[in-house]
Amino acid sequence: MSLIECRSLCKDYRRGGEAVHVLDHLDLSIERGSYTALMGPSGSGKTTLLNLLAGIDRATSGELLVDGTDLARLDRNQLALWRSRHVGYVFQLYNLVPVLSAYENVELPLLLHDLSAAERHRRVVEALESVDLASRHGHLPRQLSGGQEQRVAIARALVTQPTLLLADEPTGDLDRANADAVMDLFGRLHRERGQTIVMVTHDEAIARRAERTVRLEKGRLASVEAAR
Amino acid sequence: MSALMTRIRYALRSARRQRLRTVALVGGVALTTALAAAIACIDLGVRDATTTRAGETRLIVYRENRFCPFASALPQRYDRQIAELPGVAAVVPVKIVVSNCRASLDVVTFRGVPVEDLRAMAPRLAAGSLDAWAGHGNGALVGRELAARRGLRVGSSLTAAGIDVVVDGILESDDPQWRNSALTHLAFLQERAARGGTGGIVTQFDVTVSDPARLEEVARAIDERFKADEAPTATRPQTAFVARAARDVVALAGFSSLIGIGAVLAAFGLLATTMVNVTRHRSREFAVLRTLGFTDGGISAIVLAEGALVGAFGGLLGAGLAWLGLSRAGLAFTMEGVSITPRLDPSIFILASACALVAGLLATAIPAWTASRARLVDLLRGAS
Ligand SMILES: Nc1ncnc2c1ncn2[C@@H]1O[C@H](COP(=O)(O)OP(=O)(O)OP(=O)(O)O)[C@@H](O)[C@H]1O
Ligand SMILES: [Mg+2]
Repeated sequence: MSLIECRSLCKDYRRGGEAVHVLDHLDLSIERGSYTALMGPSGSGKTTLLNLLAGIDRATSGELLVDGTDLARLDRNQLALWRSRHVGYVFQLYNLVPVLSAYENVELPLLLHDLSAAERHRRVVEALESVDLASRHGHLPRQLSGGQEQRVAIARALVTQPTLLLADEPTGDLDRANADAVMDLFGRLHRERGQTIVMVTHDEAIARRAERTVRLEKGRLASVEAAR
Repeated sequence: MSALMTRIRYALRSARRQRLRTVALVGGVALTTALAAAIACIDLGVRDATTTRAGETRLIVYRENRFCPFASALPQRYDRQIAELPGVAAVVPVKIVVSNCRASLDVVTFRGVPVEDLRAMAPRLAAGSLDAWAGHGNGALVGRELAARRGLRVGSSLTAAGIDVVVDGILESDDPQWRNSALTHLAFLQERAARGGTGGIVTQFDVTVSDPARLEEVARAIDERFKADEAPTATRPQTAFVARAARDVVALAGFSSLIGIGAVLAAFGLLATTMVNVTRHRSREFAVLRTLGFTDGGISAIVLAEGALVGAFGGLLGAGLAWLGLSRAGLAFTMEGVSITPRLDPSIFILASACALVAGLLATAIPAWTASRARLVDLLRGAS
């Protein structure tokens, strides 16, 4: 079975008494170890889908299985626990905690795991090294450049060794050079660790870095293309 | 490390990094706690001095319809007549001279007492000696609080109300009147205070009764005895006497309690509003934490822990400040020759710190609840 199975997945929002079908009977499978780019016009439901996959939001109907778990069956707290074990989430605007240093930001998700202090330290250092920021561990977010902030955010998403790495326009706010650095990092994670990645992007060049591109249109699957 | 410790550590970190905010909040809580504790101590002092207790044995005999020590004049010879009344255990004639008859924080009260009467009372001395005082015509035993206020030691000299004395001892007593007076020989004070040769005149008699149950009865008997005399008396239990003389201070203390309660409520309102704003300001941070897998309870714990930390530190600091301030200042409200001093009861300071902690938790209860209830998607959408 695939790592992610969406079957007839629907998400509606009510707007002035009228239901808006943001995701409309979506069927989609994502294999373990795959690298998927999610594209589509603005408002087509990309972020909504990513939020459902991350267990941040709930589907209106349909089925969503991630690694065999039916997310609809989990309550709020179980879902939170599930996220802490299985999901690494990278935002467009980094979302580092401003009052915590780079090191502390990366350590944050590990506080929810039952680890010794030494093991936690080892993992944080390793994650910071993997994004090439070991020397910046004591810096606060405002003392880092946008590209560096995003790399810290990626280290924070990876440090728990999640089943699934989800990224919503991770390069949307970065210049070319920084975007390339982030994409190189994703490529390496995918190749070397077999990390499953689902990434939303508006940029065709960025999307070509992935193995395949899934296109949404008005909440429906428009096309699935394998990269050449 | 337990989950709760993690949350507390997070709250500590975030409090440390937001130094200005934390200092302001802790400082505000500390000042409010100090104010509340000080007012409570003063209130307790007022109650101690003015509330009649079971077991009270002390009566004060004053000149009828006189309320200031300058005006109350009684013949010293009354002492033998009072001593003969049934139920009376001891009588001490006392001459009182004050540097200021009105309500004030720095009054020097001289109490002239016969040497042999004071010996019989076996007063506790923190320094100096009773014998030195007995053999020293212009010697004084100075109450501990008066000594602290005026910086007096054995050997210092004290001048007030035109009277010079030398300190022969520091007096320790459970009675705030004694802790705030300078005890001199009665004869010395009578001579110094004599205007136109009124030797043999005292201000009041301190009467001890043998049985507390007979307090009122003895008081009536004394007033009855001198009703037709040249100097009729008004006799009251000491607490009632103090309550009467210090009625302005008592009213003021009651008023300041009200202001204190108002100030505490206002400070709590400010704290709660600040906490609501701070938490609202941090909604993006909490959304991120929730995305990382922190539970509703975990987020609440972080918010509550910050409130608790602010309350606990502020409370301890404030209670400490109030304790230091009150014990150093030797505060005494004196009017018409009676003194009211705050009682530094440890339970007040413990209670004040505990209240500050609870206030910190309460102030963050609503923000903690809202922070944990908000829908995560909405928060994230609002964030980016
Ligand atoms: N809380 C909400 N209430 C109502 N409508 C919503 C809500 N959240 C999202 N929508 C609507 O759902 C649709 C899909 O939104 P979504 O954010 O998934 O689009 P997207 O594909 O990520 O777009 P973009 O490329 O601009 O990020 C939009 O029309 C949006 O207005
Ligand atoms: Mg989007």
